[in-house]
Amino acid sequence: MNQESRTNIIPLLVLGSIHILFLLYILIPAIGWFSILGLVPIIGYKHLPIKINKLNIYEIGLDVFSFSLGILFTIWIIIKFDTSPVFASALIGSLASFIPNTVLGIETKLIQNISHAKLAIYAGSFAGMTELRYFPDILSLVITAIIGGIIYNFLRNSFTGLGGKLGSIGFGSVILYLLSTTLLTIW
Amino acid sequence: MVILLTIISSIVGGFGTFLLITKLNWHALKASALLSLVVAIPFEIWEIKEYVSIPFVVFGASFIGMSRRKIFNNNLILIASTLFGILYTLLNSNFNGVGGTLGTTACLSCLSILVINRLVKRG
Repeated sequence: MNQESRTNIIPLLVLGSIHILFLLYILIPAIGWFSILGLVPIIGYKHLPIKINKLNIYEIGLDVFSFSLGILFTIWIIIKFDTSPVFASALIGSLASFIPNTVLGIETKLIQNISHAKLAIYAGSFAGMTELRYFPDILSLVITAIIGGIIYNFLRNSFTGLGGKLGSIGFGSVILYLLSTTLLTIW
Repeated sequence: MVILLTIISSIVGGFGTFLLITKLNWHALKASALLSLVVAIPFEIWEIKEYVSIPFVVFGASFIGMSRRKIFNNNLILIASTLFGILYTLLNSNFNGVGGTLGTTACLSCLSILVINRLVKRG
């Protein structure tokens, strides 16, 4: 196994872990042993592009910031206007979608990052759909946003064109935050 | 009746988003978010308690429609959306208000159909 294919395992492990956690916390309580069928989709990973994103602090910062915007504004809309989570998230996604991808037809690294930032906002808005009882304070939101931004950065160039990737990132950020708080409480 | 309505909503969400992307060349984000917003607005204005899950199903299924044309065609999107509707009916009471569960269910539906399609092609 060469160096490149070894690093390409990281996005695979990240998405795989999120799906395994979904299996454990959502599927098993709902359908019991039938949830073993939930492992079948994991075989599908090999048919999708997997490429590790090179570590770049600026990009990670942008992803965390964008993810935070998604979470915070979604929660703010839900609280302020007493809307359903779907309405709030779809509104945030719609507003983000009108941010232009290109400026005068120029495609630079910055514009690529804008495109990713829009998607990270949408992913963040899914995390923001979480019931407020899971987020007791602003720190819990910040931690979830940091986790979500980092997961998004790991998966930036992988699994492109797979529907539900952003939702998985949103779920991953919330469930990892909840798991870490549970573990910290036990210790 | 509820299951049928869920599956129909799921197909509207998934296939509708895919059509907006492929036929009108909309960005996947715009197609998913705007379609979901249009469906969610009437439920915000009027209290339609019996069908309150419809916007959730359309929203979740719209993620399936965000899939790229290189990987999924119309038929696969239709089948994946139907699977999403069935999975939503089975799992929604266990979502426990955790965000991203709709998206993850959509992702697993897409991956399942991808695997089954490859197996059928090979067989």
